Amino acid sequence: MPNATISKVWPSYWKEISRYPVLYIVGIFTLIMTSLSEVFIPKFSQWTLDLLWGSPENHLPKFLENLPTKEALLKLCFAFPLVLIVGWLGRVGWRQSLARRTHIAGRDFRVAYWDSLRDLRESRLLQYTLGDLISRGISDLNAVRFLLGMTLVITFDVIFFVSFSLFFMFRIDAGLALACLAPSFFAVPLVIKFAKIQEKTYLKAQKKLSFFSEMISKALSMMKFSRATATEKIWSKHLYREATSYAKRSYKFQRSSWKLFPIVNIPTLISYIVLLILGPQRLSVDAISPGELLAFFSYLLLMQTPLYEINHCITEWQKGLVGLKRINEVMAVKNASARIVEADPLDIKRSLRAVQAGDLSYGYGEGSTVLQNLNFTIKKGEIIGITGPVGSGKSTLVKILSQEITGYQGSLCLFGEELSTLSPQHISTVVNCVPQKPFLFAGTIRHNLCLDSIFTEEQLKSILNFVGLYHELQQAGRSLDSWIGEWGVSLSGGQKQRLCLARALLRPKPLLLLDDSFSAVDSITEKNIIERIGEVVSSETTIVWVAHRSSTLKYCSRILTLENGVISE
Amino acid sequence: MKSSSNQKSRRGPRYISDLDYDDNVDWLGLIKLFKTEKKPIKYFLLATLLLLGSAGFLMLSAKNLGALFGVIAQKKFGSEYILLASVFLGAEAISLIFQYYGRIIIAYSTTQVTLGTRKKLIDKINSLPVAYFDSTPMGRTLTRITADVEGLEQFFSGTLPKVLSAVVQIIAVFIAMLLSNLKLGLIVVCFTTPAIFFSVFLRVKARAVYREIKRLTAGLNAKLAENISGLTLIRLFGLSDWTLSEYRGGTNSLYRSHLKLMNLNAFVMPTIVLLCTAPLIFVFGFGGNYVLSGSLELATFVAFVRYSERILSPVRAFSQEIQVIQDALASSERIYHMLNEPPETSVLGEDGHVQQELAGKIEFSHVFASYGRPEKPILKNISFRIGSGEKVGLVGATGSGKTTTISLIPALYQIDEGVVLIDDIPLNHWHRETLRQQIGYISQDVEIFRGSLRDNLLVGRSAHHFASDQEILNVCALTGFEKTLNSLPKGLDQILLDGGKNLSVGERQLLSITRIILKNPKILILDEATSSIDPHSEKIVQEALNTASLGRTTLIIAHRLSTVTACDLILVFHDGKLIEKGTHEQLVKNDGYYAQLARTH
Repeated sequence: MPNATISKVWPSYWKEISRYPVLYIVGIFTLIMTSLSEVFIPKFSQWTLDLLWGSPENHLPKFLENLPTKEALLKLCFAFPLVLIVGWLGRVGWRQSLARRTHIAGRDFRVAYWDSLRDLRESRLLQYTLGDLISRGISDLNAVRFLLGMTLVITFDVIFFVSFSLFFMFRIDAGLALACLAPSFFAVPLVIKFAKIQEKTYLKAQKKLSFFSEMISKALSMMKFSRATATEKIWSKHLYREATSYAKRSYKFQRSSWKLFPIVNIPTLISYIVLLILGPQRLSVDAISPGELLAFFSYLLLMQTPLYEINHCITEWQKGLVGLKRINEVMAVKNASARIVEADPLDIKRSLRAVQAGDLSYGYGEGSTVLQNLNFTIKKGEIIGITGPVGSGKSTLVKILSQEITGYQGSLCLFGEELSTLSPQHISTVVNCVPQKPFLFAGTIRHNLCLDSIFTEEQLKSILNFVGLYHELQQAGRSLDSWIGEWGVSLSGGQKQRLCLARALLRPKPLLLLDDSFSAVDSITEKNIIERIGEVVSSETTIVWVAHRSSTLKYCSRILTLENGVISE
Repeated sequence: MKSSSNQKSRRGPRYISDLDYDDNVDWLGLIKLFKTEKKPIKYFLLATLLLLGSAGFLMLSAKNLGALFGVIAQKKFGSEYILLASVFLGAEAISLIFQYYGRIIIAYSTTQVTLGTRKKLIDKINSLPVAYFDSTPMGRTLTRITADVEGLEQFFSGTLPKVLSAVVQIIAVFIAMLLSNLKLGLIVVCFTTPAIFFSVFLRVKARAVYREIKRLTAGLNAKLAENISGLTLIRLFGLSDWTLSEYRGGTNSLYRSHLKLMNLNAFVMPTIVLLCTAPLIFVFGFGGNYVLSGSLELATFVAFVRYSERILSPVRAFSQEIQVIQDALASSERIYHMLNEPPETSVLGEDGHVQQELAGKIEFSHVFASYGRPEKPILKNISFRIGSGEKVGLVGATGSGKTTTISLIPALYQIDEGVVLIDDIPLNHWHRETLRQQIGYISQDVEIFRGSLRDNLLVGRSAHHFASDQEILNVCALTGFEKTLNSLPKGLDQILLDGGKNLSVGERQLLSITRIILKNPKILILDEATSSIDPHSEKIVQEALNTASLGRTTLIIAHRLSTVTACDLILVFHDGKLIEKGTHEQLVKNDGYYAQLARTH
């Protein structure tokens, strides 16, 4: 990710930070307390050793000076719990402030993200795939919430801890500290470089894994066919191959992660050597006390932790900033959307023309024309069929009518009002659409039929009966409260389509759009539904029926044929 | 073959039911999974030894550092100092090397166990009865092989090594302390143990909240994914406010659970740190006094300080990982259960012995079949006879019994009553694999693997059945796939992408037909689901299908009557019964159900 784009994120990051100043101030203060307490612990070992040793007084702190050894030791033992309590309070404090902030950010961003998406049209989101929008709302959002809390904890912890340790070491003996720490300074760029390589190996392994999972799910969906023809072994062979190649990658990743271990530990080992050589010399000139030498050993061990953390810290910042940028990008789409001029509520009764197109044209971009100067009228209460070859613009027409895409040329009136001036709220009371690809919520059949409304048991049963599902479901041992799985995975394609139709029919609206809604329904069931459609919709309802199979269209009063973007009757 | 499934109704979505494991899971599943892998277990033991050695050397280094300070006290920096210093450095270095290789060997052995488990599960899917997949939602089976194994993998690669080395280190520190000075050692051990128990105890308490968070997060993520996919519907049905308030409700309960866990952690984690560092007071106080009274050497005192420094990080690591263990145990138990599901033979009976080439005669005689529930038959008294090489159409609404009938021919399900004869031999006498190898299946879904076109065309052929390029080219000419083949720069060696992304829908269809002819099955099943290919390609595909069915017994699952009018026999299904059979002309003349259907088309 180039730095130029990340830098634009900073203002919005700062804005988020400044919304909760108290939490951040408390967080930083308590993190300082935590680090101080950690850094003071080796100091206590140092003082105890010096007391026992009988080191010169100038190596002892003020509160232990001029005391008999036993008394000083007692005082030290009483002072130590104070350090522990400061540490305890600090640790409680940053959790209550910065960890809390992480969760607040999670809650707020989640709601804000969906809030910004929920009213958007497909056409406004064309540059994003569904998977992309979902991953922004899940993994990017997760990185952002950490960036506002826990990532700061790691960062400040490293900063404070390192500064305090350095401060104490340099105060003991600057020259010795410099000599001992030199190897660790060299380790820092190595650690950072390692982090980059590490991420690459990780991504490679993950890619393999998701590929393997995809293949498994394909194998499972094909299971019956491959069993019937004894080709399951071929699947096994391919799955084995993918599993093995993922295992190799995963091992490679794990092995390479352990490379960090020597990168961090070897410098410490070198520091020990330096300390063992220089230590006695400094001791003999009385520049340091034995206790201080021991403290040096402890600090060198403690300094390993931040080295391990740097890695984590860098990736978290990268992920968080990129995530924030990606989320902001999507949330900005809504703000950029032009406001729709809302017309008066439609007076459906007055207008006798359900749809009227005048020189209607549409193209998905520069130079593309999907629909070209269409002129047609659909009268109220008509059942009209639209057919044509693949890519002739049938679905585009449906999408325009349901306002899924906007920005057509020419005129298109819905019950006498220009479509482009109508708000989504009005459209949702006038247009009913059963899309070609059935969409169902994870939940029960009842949940999918009712959604936000309430229907009686009889209404639900009779509509399911109408689409021929009630009997089928009963036969399969299911009821209205049976769980149908995410996206209705446990229903067949035709069953899903019919459930979607039932859901639409429960909500009578003046215009019903059927976009090849029976493509997976067998022709017998289809016939049963079509013949009796008059029983469930009023004669006032206008039905626009788009179908690939012309056989279904014989029930229509008129058929329009679209070919190469031109309409004919 | 889709079948009307008899799935049990399940309360709660997949992600919830799978996180709802019971609390009594034990280590048995995990150990059993591990036990079956002989080689990895050896490596694993080796790695454990290395980790033990590493901890031992760490203690040696601590002891030596103490001794070094003893020498320093006497201001003797001669050979003894150099020796002790070298042993200290040597011990540190060896501990490092042992730790490094120990961890890498663990990584290797656990990767092998995971791979072994994956392979076993793949084999398992292929040996389970087909009925298993009707009664188990596909999502659940999929989670077993993906998410559950991944959970296990995470445990093996992350949690297990961390917990193992933490436990080893804590024990090593305790032993070292007790050996250096029993009295002081006992004091420190006695006061550190509460910290460990406390961490285990409270972590177990946190587990319920932790699980709740996982469940709510999974639920919210699924909801978001669903809402985004359903944007159009949400707008058209005016559901936007409803979804927002639903989503907000979900996020709020997740937030509350997060805070609950945070409040718990905000108390537990600092307290663990406090309890682990507190014993230092005794080292300072008692140890210091012992030194002053001369009962403890200064060297041992220094070693004690050093030992104590090594307690905190393993205990912390231990308490952080402990809650993940439960998840891994649950995953391993679920995997273990699936591996122990009864195989196909338990449902269909022992495999038969007849292994011969098929002629293609099929006979059903008073067949009743159900998906494991004879009181609710799917097929009721089906009888028909198909001669070798005949073309038969099956007509009927969804759930009328067409697909179940077809599924019985390759012996995918058991028959409750009646008999199915293939070439006059009862189905259960047939060697199932031999029979299935001679059955071909063409549907709308064409499976194309990453690999050369040649490999993809020969997918159905058994390995010993070699096909020359000339033979392949001849068949391609027959089906019309030749045209596509010639357009590919590398011909038969052209690498196809997964799912055949570099081919059009029509080309993929032709490939699958070519593949079937190369397999040369005696019985061919055509599941002619609604195709959305353009009319021009449809015509070519239809011609290829006609070529493919020549000389084979062909069964067509018809979704539209037009495709079966030319059949030798049409079987009309209604509600699990075979209500009419005959040719198109006969059935139309009969003026029954079929004739009625034909009129409306």
